[in-house]
Amino acid sequence: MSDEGLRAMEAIASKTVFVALVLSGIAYAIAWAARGSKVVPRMGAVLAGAGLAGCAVIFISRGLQPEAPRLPLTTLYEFAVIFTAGIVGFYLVASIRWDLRSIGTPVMALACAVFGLGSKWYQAVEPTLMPALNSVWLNIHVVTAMLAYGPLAVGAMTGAYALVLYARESPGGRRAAASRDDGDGEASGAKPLTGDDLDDITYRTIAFSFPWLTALIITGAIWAQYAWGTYWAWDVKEVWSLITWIIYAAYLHMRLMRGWRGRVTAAFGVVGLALVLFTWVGVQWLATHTSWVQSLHTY
Amino acid sequence: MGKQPTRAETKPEEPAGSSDDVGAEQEAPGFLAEVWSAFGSVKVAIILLIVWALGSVLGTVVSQAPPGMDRAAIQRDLIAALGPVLGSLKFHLQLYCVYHSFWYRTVLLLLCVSIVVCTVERSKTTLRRLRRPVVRASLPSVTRMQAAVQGNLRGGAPEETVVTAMEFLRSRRYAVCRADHDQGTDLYARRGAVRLLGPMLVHISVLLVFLGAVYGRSTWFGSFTANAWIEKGGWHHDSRTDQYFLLRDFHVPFRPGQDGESTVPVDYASDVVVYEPVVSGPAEQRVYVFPDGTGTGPGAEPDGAADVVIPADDPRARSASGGKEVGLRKVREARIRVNHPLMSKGIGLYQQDWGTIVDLVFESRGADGTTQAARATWVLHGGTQPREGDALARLGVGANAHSLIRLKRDAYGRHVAQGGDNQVVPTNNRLPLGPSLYIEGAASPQDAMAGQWQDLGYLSPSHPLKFGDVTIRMSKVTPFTGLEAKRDPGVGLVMFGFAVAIVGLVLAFYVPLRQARVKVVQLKDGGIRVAAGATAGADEASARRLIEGLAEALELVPRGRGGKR
Repeated sequence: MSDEGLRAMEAIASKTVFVALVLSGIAYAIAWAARGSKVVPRMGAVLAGAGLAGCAVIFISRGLQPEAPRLPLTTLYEFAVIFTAGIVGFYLVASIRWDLRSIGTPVMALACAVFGLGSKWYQAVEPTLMPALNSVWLNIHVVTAMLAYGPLAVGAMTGAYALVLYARESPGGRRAAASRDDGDGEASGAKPLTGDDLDDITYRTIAFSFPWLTALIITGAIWAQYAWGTYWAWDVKEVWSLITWIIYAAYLHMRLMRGWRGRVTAAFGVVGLALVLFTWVGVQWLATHTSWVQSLHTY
Repeated sequence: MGKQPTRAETKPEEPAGSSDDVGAEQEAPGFLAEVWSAFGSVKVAIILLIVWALGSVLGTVVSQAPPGMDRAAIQRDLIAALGPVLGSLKFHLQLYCVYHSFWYRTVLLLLCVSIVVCTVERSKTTLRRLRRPVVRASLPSVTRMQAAVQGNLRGGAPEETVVTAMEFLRSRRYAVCRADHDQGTDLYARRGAVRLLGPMLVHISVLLVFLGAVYGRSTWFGSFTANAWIEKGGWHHDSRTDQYFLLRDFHVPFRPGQDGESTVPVDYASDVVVYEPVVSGPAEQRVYVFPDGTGTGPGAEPDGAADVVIPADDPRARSASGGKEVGLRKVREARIRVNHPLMSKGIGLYQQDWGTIVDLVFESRGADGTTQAARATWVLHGGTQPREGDALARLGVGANAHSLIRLKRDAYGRHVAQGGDNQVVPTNNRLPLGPSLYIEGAASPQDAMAGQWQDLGYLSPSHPLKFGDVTIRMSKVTPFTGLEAKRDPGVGLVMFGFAVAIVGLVLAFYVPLRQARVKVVQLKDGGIRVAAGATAGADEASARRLIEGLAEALELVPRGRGGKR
């Protein structure tokens, strides 16, 4: 396919991702409101799948550009596409196992936000990379980021929803919610998800992604060792990724060793995602817009 | 896991305080025991983790001093910027270098102590669980498992039931342990016990990484970092390992631009040849022998690339003796690129920088016809714009002796060069390797302070500039490669720690530990009561399948509907 053809394909795929994710979010919202429908949530899943396929098309069309035949994993936009795919992909896989329809809308909203943010940083495929980015470790690093961040994003949404349910399950919240019902699981006849169920799902997603989060830091360190001769330079981005890792490590200790459950651990899931987003976007923004934060990781 | 336990006679764990300490004199724990206990607490570990995270945040929001800056200068600057109280506070709390401050290192040290204590404490339990699992279990603890079944069998021998259950569990690749007791027999079976090692390995890996970092960054163990800016054809001698590095060639390929090459480099590459002395010996005793047979004398440093090189097959190299140098021997050649360092004798040479050294000559002809000259040198780095003062010079001669010139920063690296009559023409000029620089001048320091700079035009080797009565010439342009020589003996340990961490995390989070218990009890009426339970972590369905299969194998009908045999 010609260069122009690939660019056109990427543009169409980009619009498809956005529209599909928005419609998927709406479908999940309708399913949540309508309670009984089985078809609407399936439509939501199909649309989310279309969004995921769109991300794959963007990835392929950028990777096949004849002037830059490489894995498109270098720019902020390309990372946003991968991150979006990670969120949607993990959500769909996790939905096979758990009934996650109730968080479909916020997950799709988050995926849309990530994709929209990435589109703001859109760059056409650069024919050449800056020398430091010419490394196989970059590809491994970004793939581990997708496998870590996607589940963490979904885990944060389940954590947030768990907090909502805990608030409703509290004496005051129960009275306020007495007249309404979420309907989770009613359509399929399954038991509605409780705050504890969602907190448990949050834990399982974090437990799944923690090894990948560690691998993310390790692959970054190995790459830095090759590029700069030091695996750790206390760069702002490195430090914030470490902070994120520490917080999740503390979470796992609290959960596994102290047996903490409920609001605190659910809140940790949400805080963790905030740290992930700050590490990705916040540090980048501070490093490019302020003088007191300097980072080697500004691309 | 290695050999699977079979009919091991396993003693049930004694409840805490049931044996040795019964009747023992209650002694208050000593100070060390209390400290040990405190560091073994998960609560302390969590607190330390959170303090570590908060300290790390502090280091990113408080401006940090550049490494290697003089402490007195830092203190002076801080007091000037923040006042005596806040400035002193920031200085004494070392908030200008958080990650190297005493308190941050103390937190890390305490965390290490906590990890050591936790690892030792938990390891005892883990290894005991691996080697001697608790086989006996109460009936409620079996029936409370993720999936459970219990019922009665009205015939057959208990031993037959036990053997059937064991065979079934082994057919599902479970390691089975058995404990016989007065009431009957208990079975404990598990799969994926290696998971138990996961957390221990992760904790050990953190210690390995910390240890490697301390070992690798400490100058006691030979760690160092040094800049090696080498001109094309120039040498770098590393005195610590006594290696000589010759820069044979240096390339900066540039990204294609609209009019040819742009100023954006695609790669930096240094072709380096590594030499080492033929015989090791103190430098002052060395005699460097030139290919023509003449020597430079003891202690003389080699001057020039070709002069000191003696091929390894040269007879003089082979006959070296008596503690005297006779030359350098080529060890290897390599191309150093970003992401592709050269490792030699524990030293890594990393491609970090590139640039140009520009030698300037200022000439002024006096009234008597004599020419006065002054010189200046600018070092221009390829990847970054020069800082204020990096490319600034006082002319120092003639009537314009106090005038200043500087590189126009906005024009640095611009994709232009001078044409005839100083006309700017787009070209393939590759600043700063290229030969032209846009210069501006100020007639006096006062003008410079007032920002009154005037454009003087492009300066190149073939195109001098005139400023007042001074002629500015670019006498020499020398490209250099910026290598960084590093030795970090702890890297191997750190990388090993990383590998252990990955193995530990995979075991801890991705290898499911599946456990099953079967309790067979002989009833007084001759029947047999069987209770079986299983857990499989997140995979509850597999636990259910196992118990259903076991019930089928034993032909067990759940209690309440009667058993059959």
